[in-house]
Amino acid sequence: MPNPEDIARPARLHSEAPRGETPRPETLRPETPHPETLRSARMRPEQRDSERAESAEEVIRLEGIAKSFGAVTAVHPTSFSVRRGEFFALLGPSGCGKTTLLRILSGFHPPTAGRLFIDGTDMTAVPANRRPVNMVFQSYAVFPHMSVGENVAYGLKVAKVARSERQQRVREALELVRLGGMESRRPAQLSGGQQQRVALARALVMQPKVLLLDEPLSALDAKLREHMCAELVRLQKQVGITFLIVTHDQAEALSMADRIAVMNHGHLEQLDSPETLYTFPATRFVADFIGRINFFAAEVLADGTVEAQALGKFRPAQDSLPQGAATAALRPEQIVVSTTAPPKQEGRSMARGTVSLLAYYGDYCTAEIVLEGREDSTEGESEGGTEDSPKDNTGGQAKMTVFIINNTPQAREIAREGQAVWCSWAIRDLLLIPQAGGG
Amino acid sequence: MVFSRRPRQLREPFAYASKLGFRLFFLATLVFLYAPIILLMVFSFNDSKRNIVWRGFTTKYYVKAWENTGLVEAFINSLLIAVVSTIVSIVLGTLLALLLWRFRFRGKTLIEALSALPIVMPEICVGIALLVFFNRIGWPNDLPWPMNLSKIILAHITFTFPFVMLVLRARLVGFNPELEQAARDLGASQRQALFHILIPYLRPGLVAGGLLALTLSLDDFVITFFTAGPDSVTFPIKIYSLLRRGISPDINAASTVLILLTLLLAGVGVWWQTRMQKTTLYTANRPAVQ
Repeated sequence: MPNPEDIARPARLHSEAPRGETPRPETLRPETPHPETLRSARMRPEQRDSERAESAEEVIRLEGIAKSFGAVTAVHPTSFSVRRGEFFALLGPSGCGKTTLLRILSGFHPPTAGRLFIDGTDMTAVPANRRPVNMVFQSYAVFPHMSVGENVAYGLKVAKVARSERQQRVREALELVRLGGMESRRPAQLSGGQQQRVALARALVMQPKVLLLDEPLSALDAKLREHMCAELVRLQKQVGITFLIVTHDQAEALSMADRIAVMNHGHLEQLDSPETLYTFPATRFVADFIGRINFFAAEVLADGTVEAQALGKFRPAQDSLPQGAATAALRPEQIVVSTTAPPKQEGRSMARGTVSLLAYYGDYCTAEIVLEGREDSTEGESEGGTEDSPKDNTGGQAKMTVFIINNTPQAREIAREGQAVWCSWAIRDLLLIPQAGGG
Repeated sequence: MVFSRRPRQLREPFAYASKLGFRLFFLATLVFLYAPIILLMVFSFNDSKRNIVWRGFTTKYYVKAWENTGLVEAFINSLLIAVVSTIVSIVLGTLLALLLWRFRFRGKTLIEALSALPIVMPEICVGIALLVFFNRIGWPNDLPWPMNLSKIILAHITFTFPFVMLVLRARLVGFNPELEQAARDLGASQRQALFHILIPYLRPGLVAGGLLALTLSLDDFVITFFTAGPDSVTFPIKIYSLLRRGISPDINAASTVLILLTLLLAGVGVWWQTRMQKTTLYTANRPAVQ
């Protein structure tokens, strides 16, 4: 099922300009597959020296960290670093190894191979209780037999911090998470959201080098989750501590993180800023996992042009694509839908189709457009009635998913099943993913 | 007995409470369960040598029972045995429950089965086995008090600690392991995490298991009978020996004291547990989904 949060993504709460509809600057478009992707995701040994120079900026560095449970490999050798003071997200579907990685960072799982540095110190063999990182657990793990104040004070008590300082810091931490004056409450008297704040305060009071958050929002309802997202970003800005969050929710990661590491099957797929991940996914998996996207089977020809199913022949904006099979991808919001043929324009392409499936989300609809065959296309798509997924056009009837903003004059015309429409898009928006980099 | 009247058309499996036959059955059950106990307690105040006709109220048999030094000694023996074997059972049962919960190891299933065996073993067999065993290894019979109770204490531990273990294992199933990890994450050593987090979580189970062990030990007759020496007599055995000279009201009085003591212990346990539940609500160790 499509997720409304895919486009109803809240504007980023950081100081940077909101991304999204604004036309993206041409300078962002990389000449080759994104250089940062290459550097971080596929780091070669000789590139590490230049990374070392940046080590003052790094608070966590993983060098070939891997983890197997018996014959099962949870994490393949992975190397990346987390910068000091950033909001970092580990994103991926369940079972991709992100939680295992988090547990390696926190010290609950020893890695099978590789080395882990926290703040420049090798922490690979250091047990959890002696690492300068603290964790907010998925279940919050608030100690039920202790009051809120005792919970927050626990770590300080174990560290034998003097009573007066302890009380002071507990009070400050609770005020930070907006639970001031709740010291004597019992966890059982708190809501799930409040328990989570206790868990946050309990970890933050330790002033960790990195705060680890394990799926912190998964147990909250949609409204509270949105609120907590904003709250976490505010907290991170306020305390300046590096946050490392593990999540399977791409909307969460996009809206909160400065940088996101996308994982799949125990591999790091791509490590980039949310904007870059969304706009220039390095692999088909990343393109598919983050946001919504339409895929079309394509082939890069010898002259550099591309022949794609249902889209026809075009010269892509990307240069030096490897010749051969590839996937062309187009985001729904990059497609303009109209009932009349749009004027022919340089750099734009169009296709006719019929609205077939509408899903209503209140502020917008998603529509599946069944595309008609193009004269200049040789791929057979006229058979019809095949059960291909709309975003994966590898044969049969070509479809594309588009967004229709509701309550506009056009929407009332377009949002009808069976309506004949024109879809148009800018050719430079078509993203080509070589098959080798495909998921 | 009051059962709320339900509409007649109810034919659900749990609608049996509305049937007259079943109500009589319940009533009979209650009568046979509690009437003897109530009679016993009532007749301990009867001013007669026989337990048949009510002759007026008196407390003289309580005085008589109190003046029976053998009975009082047996009572003190029973208490001592119960307290010592309960403490040892709690420690042993906790260690075993934690071991079976935390680790996977060779022979785990065997240990699980062996440790639960004393619960299902016929008491008479265990009693005879212990008697033969203690004779065979030549355990001394002429130790001074309280060492002469050591055989009985050992025997009681063998059948009380599995109950403690079972109660604790049931409680451990609901333990959220992230609680312990959170303590470790906050700097606690394994030992600190155990005593700060896991043991407090287990406390209701420890109380329940301990009470179970205490009452089982206090009123055990069969196994005690075979392990008791001539000068290490417990309360149930003393009462049994008094019975041979006919049922006199001082036995009623002594039994009433035992019943009240057991009720008191159970009451304290229940009160303690509800107090703990109220202050901590252990169900809250999973995230409350809003």
